[in-house]
Amino acid sequence: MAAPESGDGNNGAARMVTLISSDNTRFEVEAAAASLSQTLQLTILDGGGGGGDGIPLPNVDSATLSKVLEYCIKHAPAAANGGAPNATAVDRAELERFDNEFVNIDQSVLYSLIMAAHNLEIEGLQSLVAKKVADMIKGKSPMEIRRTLGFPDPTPEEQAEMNAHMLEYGWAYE
Amino acid sequence: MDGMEMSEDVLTEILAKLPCKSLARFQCVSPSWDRIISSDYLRRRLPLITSGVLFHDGPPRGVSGRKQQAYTYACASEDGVAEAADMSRATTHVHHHRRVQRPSPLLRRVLVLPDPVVPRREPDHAPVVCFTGWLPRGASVEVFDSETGAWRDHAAVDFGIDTDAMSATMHYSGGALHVLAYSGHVVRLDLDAMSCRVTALPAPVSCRARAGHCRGRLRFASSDGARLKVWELVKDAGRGEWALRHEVGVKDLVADGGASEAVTFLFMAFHPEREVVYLWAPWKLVAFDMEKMCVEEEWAFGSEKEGAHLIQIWLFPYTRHLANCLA
Repeated sequence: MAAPESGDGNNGAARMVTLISSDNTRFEVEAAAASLSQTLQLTILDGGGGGGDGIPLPNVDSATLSKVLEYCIKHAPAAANGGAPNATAVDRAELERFDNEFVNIDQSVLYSLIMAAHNLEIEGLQSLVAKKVADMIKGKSPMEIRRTLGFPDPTPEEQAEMNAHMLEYGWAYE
Repeated sequence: MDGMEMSEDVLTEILAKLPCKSLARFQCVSPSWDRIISSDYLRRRLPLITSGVLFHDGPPRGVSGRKQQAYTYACASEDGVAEAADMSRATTHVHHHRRVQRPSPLLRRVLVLPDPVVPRREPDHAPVVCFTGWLPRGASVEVFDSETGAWRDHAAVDFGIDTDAMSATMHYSGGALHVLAYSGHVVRLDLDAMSCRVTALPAPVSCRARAGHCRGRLRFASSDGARLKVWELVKDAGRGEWALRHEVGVKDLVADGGASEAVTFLFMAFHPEREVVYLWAPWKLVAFDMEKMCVEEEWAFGSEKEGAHLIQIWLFPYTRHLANCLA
């Protein structure tokens, strides 16, 4: 997907913009897709990102950016329809299938993805990944969460507090 | 996600997608998780209806020796239907919260207590009432009908008294919400007709006053912490006529006559069919038979801490952050 300069982006085709990942890979993508990002939208409206310029994204590496763009390209048509009032049930089902498949990925990728979605302010993607992470952690115990996040083992005081919490909120632990 | 630092915004985003049961559990993951979970911001992001049922499915009488009895708190699942609630016993209260709003400093909470209940497997018709805006002598109200699953809007319901006088103590029964008012009235809001009737009460309304139903009649309980009086509305039309049905004092409660304990109690609920009231004396819930004037059953809670918590659960069945906005 590292896009070579295609030279003629403008003969009736959709407008393209170039995004540059933190490791200097260039991605050429339709402006409509990139505009799902609130952060990029203004720059693009101002005419930025076209030609040889490109918009640098120092916080997003190329692996993550390609994943983000995969989402944006898939969702751009529906977004352009303003939430797709005239989308067919088939279209919606297809997007849903895509979304489910899309977040079926490794935890570390999910994490990079949610950070990128947050930085780029892509609402749908943030929500999608957050939901996925929530589903992954909702059945865990507080201790498991701590371990997952790499927190140090609790001190005796913290442990006592956790035990007290468990007594107090017994219903939440069943 | 080992060792990764997650920004608080991102974490909030994730937490907002969790069911309340997980949130309650995750309060103790770390102080920052606790802070986020308890925050106003997250509360506003949480899904519309959070409802909880605190009930007692006590063991048969005579089972003693266990300090902590089986109290169960059931959270509503996402579609608003309480899960796994065996409402076989009388001390059943359902608290519904819609997205909690604070339209008035006085009537801050959105709270409905449906009938404390007749033995049935499921809660029957239990509407959720949400006050969405306040008028000087009324409010706009939304009512969720659990039968049709739809919200109904009512632009302006006239209370018949000043809104500022209304308390947050409410009781639902027979298609009507009964709200106590500090002016010494009870306002009966008929949820079908959306009309109100104001009836004067036989005693001042304090924070300990409660309304309820027993044998289909409206009752009013008022206590000063040491004595409890229970009235029944005999004539419902126009000017209410109240008959004093029962009076009970602290000494009646303390079986061993040990007045050494500085006992106080709170009125909790009426038994819907029998002359029994449920009282909360420190660290135990007491079912008191008003006819025999004796304690019928009592359920003690382990420690002082747990005891104190019962009150909290009773009033605010969700987690602390809900309590924050209701208190």
